[in-house]
Formats: sequence, structure tokens, C-alpha cells
Amino acid sequence: MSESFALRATGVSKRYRNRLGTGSIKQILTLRRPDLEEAYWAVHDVSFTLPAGESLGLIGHNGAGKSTLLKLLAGIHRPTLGRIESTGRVASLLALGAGFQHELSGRDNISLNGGLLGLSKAQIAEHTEAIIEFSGLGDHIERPMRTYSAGMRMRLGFSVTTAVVPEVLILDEVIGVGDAQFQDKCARHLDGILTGGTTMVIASHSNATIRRLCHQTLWLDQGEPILHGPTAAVMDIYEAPADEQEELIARFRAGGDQAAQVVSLPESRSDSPRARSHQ
Amino acid sequence: MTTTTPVADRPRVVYDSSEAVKIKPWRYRQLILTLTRRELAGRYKSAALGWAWALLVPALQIAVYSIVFSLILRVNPGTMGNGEQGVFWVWLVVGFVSYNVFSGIVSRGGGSIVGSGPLMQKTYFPSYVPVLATAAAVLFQSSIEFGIVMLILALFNNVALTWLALPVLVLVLSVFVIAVSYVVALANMYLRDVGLLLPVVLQMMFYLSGVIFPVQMIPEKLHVLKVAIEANPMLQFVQAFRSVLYDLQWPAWETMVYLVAWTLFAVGAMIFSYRKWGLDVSELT
Repeated sequence: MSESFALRATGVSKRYRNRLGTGSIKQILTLRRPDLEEAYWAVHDVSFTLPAGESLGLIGHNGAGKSTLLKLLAGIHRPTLGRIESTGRVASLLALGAGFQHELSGRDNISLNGGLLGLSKAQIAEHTEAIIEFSGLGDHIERPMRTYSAGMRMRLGFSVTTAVVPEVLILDEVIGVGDAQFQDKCARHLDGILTGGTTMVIASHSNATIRRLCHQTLWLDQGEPILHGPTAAVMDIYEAPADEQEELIARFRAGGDQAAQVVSLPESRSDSPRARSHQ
Repeated sequence: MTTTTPVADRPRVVYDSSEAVKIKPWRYRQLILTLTRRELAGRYKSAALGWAWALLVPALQIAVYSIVFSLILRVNPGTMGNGEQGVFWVWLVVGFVSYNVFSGIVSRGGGSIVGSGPLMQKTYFPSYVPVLATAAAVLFQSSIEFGIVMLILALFNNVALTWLALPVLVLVLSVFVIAVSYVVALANMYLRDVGLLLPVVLQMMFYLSGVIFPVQMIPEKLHVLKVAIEANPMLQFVQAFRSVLYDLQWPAWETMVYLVAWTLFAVGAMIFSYRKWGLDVSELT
């Protein structure tokens, strides 16, 4: 079977356990390893294939494993089991403002942060003015970052992270940064990135966001994948009353093997009403 | 499932739990350089005297030690390699700058993995990256210090071909110290007590490395202590630097073998601890 993809996960699982650092001094001295029963699977056996240009939404309650899965996909934590493959640069908005040094000016921090995000010197130089422009910081850019408000820092962070569009973008509920005006700007910018064919993985508690931005949706519960398929189908069940969910899930799964398979939305995003509604 | 994508589009494996972890510091050179620049740029930024502090601090320390150990305690340095009478502060500066490579990298590098915890939450890099970045920043400062040392020695007309051994010594010392620093930094990640104990250990090492007094001053009665101190690799490093720069003599080959052996041992310990404990440190913060 031949297929092309931007991001693929195969049987990805993550087990956390009580660590030495959090153990008691007695455990450390006796070198007693914490029992395996104390370990738990934060993410268990997740597989998906994300074609280039599509976006995957992660849904589920707090502690479902969404953030853990994002960290695994971004490479911040190592999966205990499984394989993650990608065809391009994976960047995460988790890295918003990573490595900002408060004694340095905003301009210096652009090159620092950009370097941490894996941009080359040439790329940073090329995009610096556009980043300053987008952040709307104006003359503040030459002042030390300690003089910035939290919102200003976030704005600069967002501007650097999204200046050079990565092949795969990973987001964890960071759609709103700064004041209302800038939030709107962010949303429009993200829509631009989205329609520009960037592959994305988004974890969100906002059902509207997922419905608007994602082709496929993966529903996690206590680390286990519950449902995976086209966003509309998965979200309809997710939003259904609790007593009907079980039956709907069973019916969805029984609906054939394509339930476990990736099913893309037929329409392209640029002319989908969901994308246009925000512009 | 077989993938038949063209070679150019062949996916890069981000992670596969069934494959062994490879150690590729070269791949992270850009990030190391970025972190080094951050460390250097941010260090003295908010001080009025700025970068002058980088030289002012060691100069003041040397002044204090010179007054106490030369004027009051009357420690006698050996004669210079050019036959002139020894000058304590010059003799001290050579050992001090050499020892500073060790104390600088171990003390600052020892906290570097813990210090980059917030960064590790946001982006991936191997745990040796912050240690290498800190080491690069310290080595940058040390190379300036060595330059000044050579200038001072030149003013005393104490120069010889043995100086050519200096780069080799710096290289071996750097590798040794980086490896030690990594193991300390990693241990500190699991047990913060290490970081609290570190200043005391470094102070002890300072005295056990013969920076401030020649080992010959240790009385024969304390033979066991003397042997123990001489086994200290840092003492051997300091003596090798002094031999080359101050005494103008090539270091004994036994010394070099001893130092290289310690370095290989330290590097082995670093690789072992990285593979065993250093892979998932971002989960500890």
C-alpha cells in the first residue's frame, strides 16, 4: 500500500512512573525501584496517519493524554513504545517564547528564540522585520524584555514561532494570545497557515475550534484512543448526551474498518465554509 | 505496510522505541551556539561595569590570595623557567586560571541541566546540550584569561617552546571537565542536594589541587595525605600547566598518560550515565 504523509504515529504509547526524584529518601537510599503498579499509561497505543496539509484535532477530558501525545509528537518526551515519523520540520507552539532572556532586547530575543526553534541564521535575518511588524511592538523591540508586559512577550513569542511556517505545527490551546485585537490577528494568521497547507495537530477543549480547523479528530480517554475519524462524525458523538454515547461509539466502530482508518474531508479547506466563516 | 514514497520524500523517523539512541552533538551545534551566546550576552548585561567583571573577579581573588599566602603565610613558589626568582602572584595566576576551567565548568555546568528545565518543557534537545553550551561559554572566558597569563609571563621574559603543549593540555582538560560536569549536572537533576553540596566540594578541590601551595610543602610525616592529593587528577592538570607555562618544562609522559586515562574514564562515565539516566530528564522538571 502506497501513501504519502506528513506525520505518522504507529502504536505510540507513553508510560510514566513514580520517579526517583519524587520518591522518598528511604527509596533513594535503598535504591528500591518504585513498583510497576505505580506506573500508568498516559497514552496507550495511538496510531494515525496525517497526510500533508491536513489537521488532526485531539479531544478528551483533562488528563486524557492530549498534552502528553503532543509532547511525544513534538519530540519533547520519548515514547515508551512505538514509532513516530515525519517528512519535515515539526515545530510546536508549546515552544512559545522558549529561551527568552529578560535582560536582552526583544530584537536579540528574536534570534535566540528563532535559533531554539531550529531556524537558521539566514532565516532569522530574513524574517526579523516581519516578526517585529506582526508583533506590533514598535520601538519597544529595542528595549530589554524585562520591561515587557506578559502580553507583549506572548505576542513576540507567537510572531517568532509562526514566522517561518513549519511542515508540521503542534498547538495546545494557544489560539488566544494578548488582547482581543491581537487574538483576532492570531486566529486569522493561523487560518492563513492552515489554508497554506501546513499539517497541524491541535489539542483543544473548544469543540467549535476543532470543528472549524480539523479534518480528522482523535478522541482520547485516559490515554486510550476512543474514536478516530472525520471531525464531524467524531464530534457529533463526543457532543451527544452521555447515555447515548456508548451506543453511538459501538455503531461508529461497527460501521466498518474505515472507522479506524483515516478519512479525509472531501472538500479542500480553502473553500470550505468553516475556514471562510472566520475571514 | 510498505511505503513506496520517492527517496526525497522518505519520512524521517522522529522516534522509534525499538532503536538505540544515538549520540550526535554535532547535529545540535547551532542550538549549542545559541545557548552559549545567550549565556555570554546575558551574564553581565545588567551590571554597570559589564564585561569588566569577567576579569575583575579573578584579579581581586588573586590579590586576596597573594596577600594571605605570600605576604602573611610566606609560601615560596619555585624559580621561574628562565632562572629568575619566583614571583608568587605570577605562579598563582597560572594555576588559578587552569583550575578555573574546572571550577567554572563544573559549578556553572553542574546546574545547567536543572537551569534549562523550563526550556526542556518546550523544545527537545539532548541533556548534554546545556552542559556543552555552558562549557563553551566558560572556555571562551578562559581563553581570554590564558591570553592574559601569557602576556604576563612574556613581560617577565619567561617564554619557551614548551608553550606549544598548552593547546593539547587545554583540550584534554576540557574534555575531562565537560564529562565530569555532565555527570554532576545529571546527578543534580535527580537529587538537588548535589547542587547544594557542590560549592563545598569545589572549595575542597581548590585546596587539594595545589593551586595555592606547592605539594612539596606537605610535610613528609603526612605521607598518606600527600599520595592521596597527588592522585587527584586536577592537581596533575594544574602541575602540568605550571610545568609548561611557568617552569618551561615538558610534562612527564607518565603524567600525560595518567591525565588521558582519567579523561577516558570520565568520558565513559558520561556516556554510560547519559544512556542510563540522561534520556528522559525533561520529565523530571
